[in-house]
Amino acid sequence: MTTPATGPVAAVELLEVRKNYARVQAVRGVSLTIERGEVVAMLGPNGAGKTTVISLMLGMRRPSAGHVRLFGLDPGDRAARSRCGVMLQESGVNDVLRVAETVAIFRAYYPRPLPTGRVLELAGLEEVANRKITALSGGQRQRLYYALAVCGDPEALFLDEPTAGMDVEARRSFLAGIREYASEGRTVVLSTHYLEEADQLADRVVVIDRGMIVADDSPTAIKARVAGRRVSFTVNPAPSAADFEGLPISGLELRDQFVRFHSSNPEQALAAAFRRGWDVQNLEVVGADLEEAFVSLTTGRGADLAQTDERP
Amino acid sequence: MTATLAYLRFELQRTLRTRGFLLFVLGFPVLFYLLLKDTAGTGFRPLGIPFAGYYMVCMAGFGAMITAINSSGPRLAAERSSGWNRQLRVTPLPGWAYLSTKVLTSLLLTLPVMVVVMAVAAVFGPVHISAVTALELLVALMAGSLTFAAAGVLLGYAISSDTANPMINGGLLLLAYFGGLFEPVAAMAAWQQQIAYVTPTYQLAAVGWWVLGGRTPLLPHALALLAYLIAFSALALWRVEVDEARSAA
Repeated sequence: MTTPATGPVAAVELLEVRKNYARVQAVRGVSLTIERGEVVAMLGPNGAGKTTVISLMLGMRRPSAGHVRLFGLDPGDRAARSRCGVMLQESGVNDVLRVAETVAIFRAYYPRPLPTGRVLELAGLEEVANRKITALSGGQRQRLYYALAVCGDPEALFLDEPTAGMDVEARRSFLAGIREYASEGRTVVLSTHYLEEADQLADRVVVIDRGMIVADDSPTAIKARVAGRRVSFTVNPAPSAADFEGLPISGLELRDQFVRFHSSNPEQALAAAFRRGWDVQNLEVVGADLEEAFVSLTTGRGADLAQTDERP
Repeated sequence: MTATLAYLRFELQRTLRTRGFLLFVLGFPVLFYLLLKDTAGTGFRPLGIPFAGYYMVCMAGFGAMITAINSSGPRLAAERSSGWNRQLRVTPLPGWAYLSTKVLTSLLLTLPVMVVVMAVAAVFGPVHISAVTALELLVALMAGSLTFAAAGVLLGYAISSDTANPMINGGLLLLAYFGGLFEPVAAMAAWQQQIAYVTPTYQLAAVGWWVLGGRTPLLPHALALLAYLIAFSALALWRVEVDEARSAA
């Protein structure tokens, strides 16, 4: 294992880390190295172990087995901790304080903090700087947690589902802020269960499911492994499976007049359907949701089927 | 160091902003003092101290003790349940700073409470003591309050935030009553006196009476307070460890 004296040290190193709770194996042998300056999204459904992995990285929980290093140090070490900014899920903040005061207090915990004004600007909280925390909306509160994470001008940011509870617009501007921060060469580790969020922000996506890493790749590569779009419509009269022979689809479901399938090329599949003169009604084309992505990534079957069944 | 100081400033700031808290810790001792200072009748000099002064010690001690416990216990319980201490745990603020700042805040806050009680007593008692004696009394009671601050930390980690307030304050009233802070020990039934002698509240008041020149020794009471302090601190540290092991488990 490298030490700070001998050369560049990874921001985070997990080696064969396991974490067992009473009867549950929350993390089942995770090895992961996050280099400095990387922006990594940990993607996974609820209960996949993302939060546990982050709390292990930060020394908030001790691994049942394996090794954890934060900037080459023990994660409980203050020297390591002063280089990190953390945004937890379900944090508490004190109610009687105002936004700017809370930021000012947290700044004082770090050796080289950003000016309070800059922190408020980064988090988009300038307009509510003098508001009491109790008077903040859910999204504003979330941004306050972000402010507390960046106020120490950390080299590494750890964000556990930072956009939870935000609406689309708030999420967009929030992610833009994180991107700006990350562009200055900082390490960002965030967990999310939105594939698009990981896609927008990260150069690397680590997919976690049931306590294990099931994929670790660029967002583009991850997306390519997920069967593209889900298409559903109704046709009268009811078609048979034979009618779909030769179309670039997988996972075909037929229930009377209702048709549903996956396709990495829905345009081509639909063009073929229209050419057959079908009276297509109630058409829906949606991105395959993450649940399906996980099915394909964890079992490998979905992705394989998508490749073998498609005859473009 | 700056981190710890900033945290201390924050703790004080936040307490001074909680008006209900100030009203409670200032209001009760002052009110009890004004209501009860004359009930014993003139000429009643427990331990050889005029009753107005004797009772000033009781209420300054009572104020100091409810301040010390209430500015640590219920707040720690609430912060554990709200996740505020998790938020602090991921900052570089050292773990010991969190608890020691709580204790230090508790002690500092006892000062204004005792000063107000003593000022009221000086005017309405009336109590005549020198500035030096007044200062000695403040220092003695504040040092004794450390025992109650430690008890607050223990309760903050042992009790859930839902029940912290009623349990702590109910317990405090009983302790104050049985410790002879409301009714002079000399006026109690014999069995009650036996109880009073073992309460930490009585030990605290006794140290104060000694400062005012009362016929009571200092050493046994100071040692008793110290014994309570050690016991509460040991139990509190054990609870803190259990809590941290549980959250890191």
